[in-house]
Amino acid sequence: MQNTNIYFQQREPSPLRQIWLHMNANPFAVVAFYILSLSLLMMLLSPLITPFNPDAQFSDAILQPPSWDVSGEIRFLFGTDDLGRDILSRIIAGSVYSLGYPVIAVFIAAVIGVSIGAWAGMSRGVQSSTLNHMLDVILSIPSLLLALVIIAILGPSLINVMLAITLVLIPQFIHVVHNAIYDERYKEYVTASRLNGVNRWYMLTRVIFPNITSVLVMQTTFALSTAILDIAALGFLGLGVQAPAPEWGTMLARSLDQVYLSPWMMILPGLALFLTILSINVLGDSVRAAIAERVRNS
Amino acid sequence: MSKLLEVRNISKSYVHKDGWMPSKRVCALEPLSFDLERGETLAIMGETGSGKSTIAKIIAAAERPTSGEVFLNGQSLKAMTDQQRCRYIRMIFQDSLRSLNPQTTVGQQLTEPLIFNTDWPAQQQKQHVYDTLRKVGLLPDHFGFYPHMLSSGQQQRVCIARAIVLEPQIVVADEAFVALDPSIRAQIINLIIDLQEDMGISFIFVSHSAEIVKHVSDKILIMHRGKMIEFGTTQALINHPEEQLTKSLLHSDHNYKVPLHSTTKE
Repeated sequence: MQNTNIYFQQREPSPLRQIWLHMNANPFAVVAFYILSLSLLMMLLSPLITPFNPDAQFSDAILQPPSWDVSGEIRFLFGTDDLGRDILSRIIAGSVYSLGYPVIAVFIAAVIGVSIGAWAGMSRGVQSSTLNHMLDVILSIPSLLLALVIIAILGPSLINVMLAITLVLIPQFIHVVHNAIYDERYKEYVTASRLNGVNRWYMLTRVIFPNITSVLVMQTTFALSTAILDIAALGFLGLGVQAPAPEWGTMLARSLDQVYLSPWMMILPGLALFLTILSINVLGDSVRAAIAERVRNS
Repeated sequence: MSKLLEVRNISKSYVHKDGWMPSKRVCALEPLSFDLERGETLAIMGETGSGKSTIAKIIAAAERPTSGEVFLNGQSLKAMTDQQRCRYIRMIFQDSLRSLNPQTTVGQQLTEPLIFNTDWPAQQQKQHVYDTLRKVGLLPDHFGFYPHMLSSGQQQRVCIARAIVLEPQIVVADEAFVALDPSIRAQIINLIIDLQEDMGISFIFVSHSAEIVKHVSDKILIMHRGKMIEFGTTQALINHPEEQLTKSLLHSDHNYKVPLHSTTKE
């Protein structure tokens, strides 16, 4: 039926695809995207690709410098720490704590926040305001402080940190989604769809949602970088993940007393943290820039 | 025989809230009534901001009237859901790009009313959309296009396709022909006249252009500052206009000047 061959294009560039193409034109965004995908892959495969058990101690190689150093050994690519544990294995295994758990926290917050936000956006009047401002009181407390309060009551553990971060992120998602839906709701195409006789579910998922995806992606990257920083910071303070676990923030805190003797113990996990957060922020920023560009061109 | 559309005393006023000050009511449309028979074409004319678009939107239920009711075949539209209503009355919006969803393809948007108002299988829906696209002078290839890839005239035609895809009884067009070039405008108007003959649909359109109004419409309604100042058959209004405004709107097609206080009856 369709004789698409008249046109040279193989597929029609949808607005979302256009944003993707804009981002592809920005080399920083592409590099950030690759770094982030690589670290996510590393996180997923971490039990398989760690050269050693992250907790295994090698008494013959304590405080071994990285392999590019004169006294380094190729067996321990990134060197070992003061207990003779392989740092490369610890960084790879630590990505589960430093990247995996924030991803889970953001995912849970996004699911709860987006559903409440969508509900608030689709309803009107008092119901909408109530839903929208339900968790606003949490916004008044900085996430780190809330985490400290929860930890002070329940004791330091990863679960409590996750709880605190998820709680802080939920109202942000609610607000973003509510505002985005509210902006779209009174546009003419939504009225046109309403006059097509569509039901509310179709209206939300097929008509409005495709138009707010980009906003959601932006909020998710922002939330992810906050969550990673918070988990690392609490680990560094000794309130989050507890010591033997190879969390990047905890590793930084442990290396503090040997930083002059063996700087690699601090630099390498710090570098991993830095690269991950930088790539997420650059990615979020280029999504924002790409959206702005598309809006300007249309 | 009952009238197809009866409009009874509809009015519209907006409430302006200004901080803590008591809210002000702004009247956009004063109560007015008129009837429309099956297969008739009604043109609504008037100056900018005279409430023409408001009438169109109220009839198509894009907006609720502050008071009054609209009856279709003797049934009140107020009692109907959007889904029931859209099988009878469809609207073509003024700004075609803004009334199309930017993130979905033309085909999906044309299929949307079919999903909710017919129980046809997917293949038949698709075929019907192809046929409708052909009717308005587009190709089935445009099924997969996004609105931003079309020219404004093509977007307009997609909107017209969306209005006629359900084969309604009444089509309300809010300045739908402005963006079209003359040949396509003629084509679309002929299409509407054909549809009118085939299915007996009634057509309500808001327009500035006296030529189109004279050519197509059976009845004309003249609006001035939210009031209906004249309503009658095209013949009568052209030959014996009672108001100065009617005369200037219908006769001097170009460079007419409307005096500020032109209603002589006041």
